Amino acid sequence: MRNSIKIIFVASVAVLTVFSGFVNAEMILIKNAKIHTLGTLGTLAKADILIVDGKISSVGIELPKSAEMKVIEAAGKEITPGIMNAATALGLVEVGAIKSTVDDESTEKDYSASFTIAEVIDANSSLFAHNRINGLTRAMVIPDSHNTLFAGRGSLIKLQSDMQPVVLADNAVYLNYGERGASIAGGTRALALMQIKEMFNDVKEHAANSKDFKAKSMLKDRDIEALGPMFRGEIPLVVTVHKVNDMLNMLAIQKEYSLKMIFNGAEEAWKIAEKIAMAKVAVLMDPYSNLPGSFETVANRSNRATLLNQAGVELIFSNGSSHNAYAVRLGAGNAVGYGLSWHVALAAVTSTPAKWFGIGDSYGTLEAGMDADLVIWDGDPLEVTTSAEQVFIQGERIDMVSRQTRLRDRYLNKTALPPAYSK
Amino acid sequence: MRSQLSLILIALLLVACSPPSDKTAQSKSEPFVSTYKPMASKSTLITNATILTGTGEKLDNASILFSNNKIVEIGFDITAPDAVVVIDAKGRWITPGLIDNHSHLGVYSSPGVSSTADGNEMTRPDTANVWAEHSVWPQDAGFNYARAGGVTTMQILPGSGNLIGGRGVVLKNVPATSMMAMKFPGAPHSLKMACGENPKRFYGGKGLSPSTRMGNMAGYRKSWIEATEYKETWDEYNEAISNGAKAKKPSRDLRLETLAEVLRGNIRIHNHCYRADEMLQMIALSKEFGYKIASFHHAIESYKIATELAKEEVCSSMWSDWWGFKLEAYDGIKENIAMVDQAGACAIVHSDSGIGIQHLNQDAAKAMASGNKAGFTISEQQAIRWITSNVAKSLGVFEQTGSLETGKMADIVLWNGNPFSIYTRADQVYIDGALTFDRADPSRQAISDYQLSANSSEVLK
Repeated sequence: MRNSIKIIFVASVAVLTVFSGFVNAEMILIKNAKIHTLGTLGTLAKADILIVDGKISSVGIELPKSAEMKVIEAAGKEITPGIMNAATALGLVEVGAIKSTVDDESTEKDYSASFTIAEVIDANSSLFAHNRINGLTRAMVIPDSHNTLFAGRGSLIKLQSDMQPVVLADNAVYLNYGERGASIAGGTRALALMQIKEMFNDVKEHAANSKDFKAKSMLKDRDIEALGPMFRGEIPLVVTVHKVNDMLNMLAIQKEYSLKMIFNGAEEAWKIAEKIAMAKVAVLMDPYSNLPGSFETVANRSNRATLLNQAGVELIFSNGSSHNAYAVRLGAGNAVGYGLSWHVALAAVTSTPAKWFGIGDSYGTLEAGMDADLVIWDGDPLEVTTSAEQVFIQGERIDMVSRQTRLRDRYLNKTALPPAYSK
Repeated sequence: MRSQLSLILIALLLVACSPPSDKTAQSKSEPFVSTYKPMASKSTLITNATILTGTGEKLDNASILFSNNKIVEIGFDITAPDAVVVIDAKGRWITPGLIDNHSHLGVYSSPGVSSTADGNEMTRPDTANVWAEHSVWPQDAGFNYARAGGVTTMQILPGSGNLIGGRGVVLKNVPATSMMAMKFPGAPHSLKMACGENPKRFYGGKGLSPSTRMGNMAGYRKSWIEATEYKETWDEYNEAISNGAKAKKPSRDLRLETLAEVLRGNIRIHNHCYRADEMLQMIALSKEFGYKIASFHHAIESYKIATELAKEEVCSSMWSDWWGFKLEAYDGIKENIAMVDQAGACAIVHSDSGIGIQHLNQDAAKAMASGNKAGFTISEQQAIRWITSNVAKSLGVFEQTGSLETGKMADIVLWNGNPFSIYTRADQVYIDGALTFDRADPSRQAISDYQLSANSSEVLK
């Protein structure tokens, strides 16, 4: 059963000082775990983690305990950083088919690159608790504009319930190319490419001389402003693109402007893996996706993550789901089944997206100074029969309850009264 | 190329070999009859395997011998007959070929373009006259991926846009140039019905009935009333003829013919239905008109009525963890499958997905683990039934497949490890004893005509 982690209160903690609101340092010591640090220490077979005030204070073997620490005996269980899904609509969707509960999709044409969803991400969504108790602690939340090539800007969140989910606002820009981009641009990839080049030219001219600048492309001033950080290489441009020659065209743009670029989808990327690796472009993909579902993914294949990794391409995983965004870790496990290294697969749902989306200095590895986002698993962290036994986000020990667990308990433990009376 | 004559002979043989069933369902005039013929096979003995039989047993270090398309023996000390292929499966596992109760392969194919969207005849709410098999495109690339995932049999259903969507078909997952060459010999026909949001949304959106759930129910009842009358008319006619009397032959109506066959017990109802309250209403409806529901599909809320489903002996075909994509899926929980199973009801893991069908074993594993963490004790040998024998029973083909038993079709998967692990892959997939997929041998990895343009022979790897 679930409650096998024993919390030992070594001493009373948290003495409140009433006049300042200052709380004494909260210290949690997790003992005797198999720790996948994803940092310089690698995997430690039997080690401890000390959390102080929401951050990892140290990771090591037989860390000394003190009376102020809450001690958790992990008894050999495995610990990883909290899982990250790099493409979700968390906080922007409750029920997919009820459009009044969906806020990521825009059909507006006047807002493209400047479209931002940062301020409307709702941490009270039932999807937050469901995902965090299953091990997801970080996610990219991304816009989905239907009628513009630049779909807008995404933001990075943590999955606490504190109503301040955004860790980094507007930290990536999204661009559609391929069949979808062609359809938006007027029916042909040729137009889409021309428009993309015009837009980049505008951004370049604006960067060189904003005073005398006059837009020639379809971008509005606010969009050109919004593209500045991407153009300067400070944040990534995520391009949804699938087939080989489309990727080659995007690589040319990436080279011309020295962009920090991520290919999203990239089903045929394995065919030009060396070129992508050389350009230092990362690939964001769902390892379960292997079907040749369209004419731009005809060369999709099951072990493409393995081939990309062998060529040196950095991998970031997603699973196309918000309701089960946490299950991205199963995509990582599935990729291992197709030959990918286990640690590369785990990194693709933790440290690699952390680095690419700008939080690599605070999340993604289990090392001193990092936020204490971590999961104690009841088995192999990438295995399908494993679940999260205890999740921490920035040191907060998460209450492992969700609407789903309440539903389960209500119907599992039926009483004489109708289920509606059990809460 | 096979001659027309041999095809007919095979068809006759297959009909003759099929188990006895009501003559109305499998009459001599059965159209679009199966022309399925097993691929060439060799007698094979696999030794030292962990075998999940599909009947609830797990055999360690066991062997299985199959020959002439059938399972000959399962046991521990089987002597290899002469001229038999022997495979040492030390460390590997064997299960029955997996069965998906809910697939749209061939009717929503890869590539997924409007030219291949052939699964939903949404032109009126009751299209019991259409048969999914007439939409099945054997070139769907997805069949090959499903086979690499260990799927040897699947039910192809029409979509859920209609109250009564049409007949489903059971296929053997072999590469073929015609649907009929995949058709499972002797399998009963099925009929797809749908509850809830989909029919009412589509027709309501056009200002037609149904636009509400009460409209849905009125629609089903209208059809069953018509079917009852149609059946009576034909029954009277057939009785008169068999008594030697003269009678005017009623005119045929494909829609009502299908529904009447349901009322005669010859066609099985597979009912898309998410909500507990609607499932109970559908059971009441089936009693009003005297038919039986084989399985609810997408049964997100079966856990709320598991005891009732056990009593009514209706299967639930479920996902391991999907939820929230529409309101009737909002109450999905990961323990659904286990709670249904442990209440003594028939639990099935289905895919409804070209990706999910490749990993039915992973979904069964998820559901098993979720159940065990909720306090149940469910073993691998029990959970494998959700994707093998329970499915075969709901489809009416358990006499032929769905478990590893002497005399059954040699539909067998050899896994490179425990199939309840995410890292495990099917090494070999046998259908009627023929090696239809071999992960180590590209010459045994079929790919569709469409995918030849990928310039890779190893896309399944």
